[in-house]
Amino acid sequence: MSEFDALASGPPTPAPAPPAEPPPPRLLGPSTLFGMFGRLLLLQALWNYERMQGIGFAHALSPATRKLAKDDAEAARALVPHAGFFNTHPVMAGVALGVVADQLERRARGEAGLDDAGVTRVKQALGSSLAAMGDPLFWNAVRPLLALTAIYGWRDDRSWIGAVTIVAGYNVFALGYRMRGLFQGYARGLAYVAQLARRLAPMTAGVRTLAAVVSALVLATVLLPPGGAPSRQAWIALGGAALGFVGFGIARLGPGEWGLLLVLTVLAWATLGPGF
Amino acid sequence: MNALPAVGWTLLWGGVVAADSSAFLQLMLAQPFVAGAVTGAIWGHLALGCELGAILQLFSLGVLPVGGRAPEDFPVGTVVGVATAAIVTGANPVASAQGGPLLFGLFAAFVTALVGRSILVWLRHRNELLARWVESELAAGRLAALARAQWAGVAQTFALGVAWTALALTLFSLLGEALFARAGVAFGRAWQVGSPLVWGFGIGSVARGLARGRRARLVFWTSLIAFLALRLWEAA
Repeated sequence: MSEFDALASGPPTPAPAPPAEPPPPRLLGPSTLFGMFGRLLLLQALWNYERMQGIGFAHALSPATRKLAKDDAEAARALVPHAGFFNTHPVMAGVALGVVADQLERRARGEAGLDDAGVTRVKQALGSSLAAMGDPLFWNAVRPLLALTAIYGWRDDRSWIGAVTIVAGYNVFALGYRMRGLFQGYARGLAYVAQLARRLAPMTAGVRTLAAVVSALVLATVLLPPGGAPSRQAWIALGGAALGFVGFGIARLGPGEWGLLLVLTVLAWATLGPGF
Repeated sequence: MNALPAVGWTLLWGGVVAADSSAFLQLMLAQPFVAGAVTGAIWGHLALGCELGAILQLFSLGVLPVGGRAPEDFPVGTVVGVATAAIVTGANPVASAQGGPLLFGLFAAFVTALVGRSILVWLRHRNELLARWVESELAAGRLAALARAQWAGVAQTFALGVAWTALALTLFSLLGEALFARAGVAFGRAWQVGSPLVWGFGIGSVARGLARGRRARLVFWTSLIAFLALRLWEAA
């Protein structure tokens, strides 16, 4: 072939890449993961100030270490580093559990750089970052939304069905997410965590906004009850709402102390106040 | 009415909500509206349970069980408050007509919730002993100790919930019956003021937490004005 022919035929075709090596089969099957999920429901059984959820985490991890170890004794010793301090939002703990199970499996396969100290550091870092995502979503958004919806149903329609919707609504979301977090954390490892914040932040903001709307709805029913209230009661409710809105965060009292203070004030007024 | 079965179910339910709120499952059975409705149903006063549960729910939304904070024990507080109000209502139906037992139930609930915080702290310290035992057992290669300790933790929380419910219910029902025999009407009058006040305060404090940030504040106030206008228009 002349030099011209070689140029006309374009650059030489690269040699075909060797076929990608199939990923190694996973060592933990669905039954092990379901076993971990079941134990995750006891995450806070031994919650304490030294280790917080540490023992619960080790218990939830035990099916994985049992599968990866030769016998119970080896599995038990492998859990000792995981019985130390750990704390996160209970629903998000599934993600951390899945990621740690993935790391233990990779270590069992002989992957370098995954010693106990490294896995523990990853677990603890995950605990705080997952809590930073889970607390605003579950405690500050989903729980108020469901509770306020139930309260609105009671206030406006005297319906007790909200008691069922709180339990059902929260658990569809929370149990579903616990399981999904565990399975995805195990399947995708740290890559799964990396995109969580981006996905959960808009969801949290949306649910919180919805909860703010429902709180306005409940406040409207408190100020103007369905049957119509005597104007004195409406003014007292307005005063109470203003106190709650302004005073709750200013005074260093918790909700229980505020409640007790209000009840005692009313009782004192009723028994000692003039012209009651 | 024979109150013994209701007392028995109430104590069991107190144990269940204590365990659900911290140690076991966390299915939200311990949310005051749920706990109150079930307790009210046990005593045949569902409406009373829902009313108290709804008010206590608003207050409990200000409690965040995060980090090492020991939250007020609103779950057991709700069970005790509703059961006390139901017992007082049954014992003094005439004096209770204006809703006085609800105010006394709230009082019982708040006191139980506040004292319950110290019990929770004690329980958490006790868990430390079990946790240390588990660690030494694991180091010795005994895997079964982990599950045993976990279930012991659940049983301990449940038993403490039952015991605390029993103690608080006994104290407040005796106190309530004595007070209502003498001043039941005063409690009823106080509830006419107390009800809108606690409802207003509760929802005000919740709204304050949710209406943080410019967008949320705008949405909240716009919605409130719209809903108030709608209710006024409906009433007219």
